[in-house]
Amino acid sequence: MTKSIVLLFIPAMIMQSCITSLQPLVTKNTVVTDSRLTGTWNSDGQDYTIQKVAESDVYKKYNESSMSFSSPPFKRDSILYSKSYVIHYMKNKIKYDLYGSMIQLNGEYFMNFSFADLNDEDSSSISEREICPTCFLQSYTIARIRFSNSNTIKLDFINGDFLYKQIKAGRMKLKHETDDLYDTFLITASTNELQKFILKYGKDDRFFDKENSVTLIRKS
Amino acid sequence: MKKTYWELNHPILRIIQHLAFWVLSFFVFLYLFKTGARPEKIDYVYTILFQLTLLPAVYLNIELLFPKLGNRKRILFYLFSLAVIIIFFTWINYNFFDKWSAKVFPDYFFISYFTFREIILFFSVYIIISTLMKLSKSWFLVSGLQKELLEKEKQKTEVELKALKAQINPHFFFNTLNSIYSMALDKDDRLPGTVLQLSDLMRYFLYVSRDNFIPLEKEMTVLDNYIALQKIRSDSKLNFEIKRSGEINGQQIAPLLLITFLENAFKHGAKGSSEKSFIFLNTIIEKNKLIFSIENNKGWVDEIKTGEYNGLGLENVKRQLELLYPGKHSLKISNEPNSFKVQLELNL
Repeated sequence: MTKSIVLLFIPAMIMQSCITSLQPLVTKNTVVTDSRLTGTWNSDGQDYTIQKVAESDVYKKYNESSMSFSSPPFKRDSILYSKSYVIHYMKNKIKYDLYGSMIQLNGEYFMNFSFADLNDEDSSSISEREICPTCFLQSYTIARIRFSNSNTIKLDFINGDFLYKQIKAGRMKLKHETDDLYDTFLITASTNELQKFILKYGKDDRFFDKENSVTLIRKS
Repeated sequence: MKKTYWELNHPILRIIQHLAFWVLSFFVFLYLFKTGARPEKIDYVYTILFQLTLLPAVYLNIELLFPKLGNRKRILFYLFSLAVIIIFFTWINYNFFDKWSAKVFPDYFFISYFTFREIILFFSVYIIISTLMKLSKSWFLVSGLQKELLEKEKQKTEVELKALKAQINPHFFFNTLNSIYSMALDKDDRLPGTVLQLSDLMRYFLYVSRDNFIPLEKEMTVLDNYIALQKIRSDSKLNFEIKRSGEINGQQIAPLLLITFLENAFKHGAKGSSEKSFIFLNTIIEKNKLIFSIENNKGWVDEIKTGEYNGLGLENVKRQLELLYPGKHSLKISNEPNSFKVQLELNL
């Protein structure tokens, strides 16, 4: 049976010009945690809740369903998830849940975000459609995380426009696929290559545009 | 000697060969390294830079390490030096793409897409390929030089053989004419027949003996003529015994070898004043083998004639044997108080 694979792009908290990668930046061997992350945060009037996965509603919801964390594909990544976070927020009456896994490279923290769940308060059809993890191909977006102090976190998302222009101009060597019809592209480089790229250019501000930054202020 | 452009070691052809190798290698790498369907500008830049790190390692090996250390005595030191070079340039490659290139090429973004082990493999393969190419090129050069040397050696041998033959003929005629001169002084009636037989021999020397090898049958006929010639002028005191066994047809031999021994025997034996003059000649022909032995008494000539021309014929024959039958002959010369014996064995 041919399985239709849908690339599920992360709804933005996250800007249009953020980069999307097919492979994660963080793996179970490289994932790190930081207690400063958890809590309720606010940015430009928008609230965000960051919890450890095991403490999140998503975890409870999946554990109660047939797609529990002890079953594939979650079982394989249980170590990764045990050290990952769920970022929850609501926008336009839709509840979004993202997984966030953090890595430290060259003295900087980076987090890759992937889809966890979404729930439309007006309709239950979306969650029903997307709750099947094997029906879509997960994708990731990446941000640099800087802790200004224990109450402020700055997320600098990788500037997709910059990468796209460099790749189009033949100045960047990173595996990718382009969709000429919609003028979009997807990074298909391996996790190892992504890590090496971030390790080398993680401090290069050209990769992080101000427009792609989110500053979170702790609420509680 | 001026080299032509197409000789393997001509500097211009050498540069072309090296350029061709690196251009070919460049395109192989380009299509191996490209990330999209077609190579982009970054792929060209990356491939050129990747090759630039390969170049010093390859040329250090083929121009310095291999010529100086690539022998059995220094093989361990060579392999150690090679390993050091491979690891050093792998380190350069790895760090250049992973760190340093951001400073040198700030507007080009790439990393080292290979692990340290994979780059070591790249370097090792390139060094092995380039070493094998150098070895095969050297083999072609040596092979060509060997061929040239053999050709020169062959030409030299032919020139030397011609010179030796040119020495033998006058030497033989000098001796025979001396004999005819003696017959003329004695007003011997057999002189006309002797001159006629000499004429036959001269024909043989002039036309037949030009070849390196002639039928053994012809050489034996010449020997018979020569014996007949010498018998005419010999007196009845000479005890001449001749034995010949075996099949001579179908065998080949270098001309003028045997007659020189016979000529010496007559010169030193039969011409002596001894009452017991003798010549014993025995020729045995076996399958692809000739055993020729001749023994003669020593006459007064051997005590009187000790001049510079003495033994010239034998020396010539020895040299001819070395050139024409290397490792295929055995020559024993026994110089006894009263006799002189020669035994020659030839693998025909």
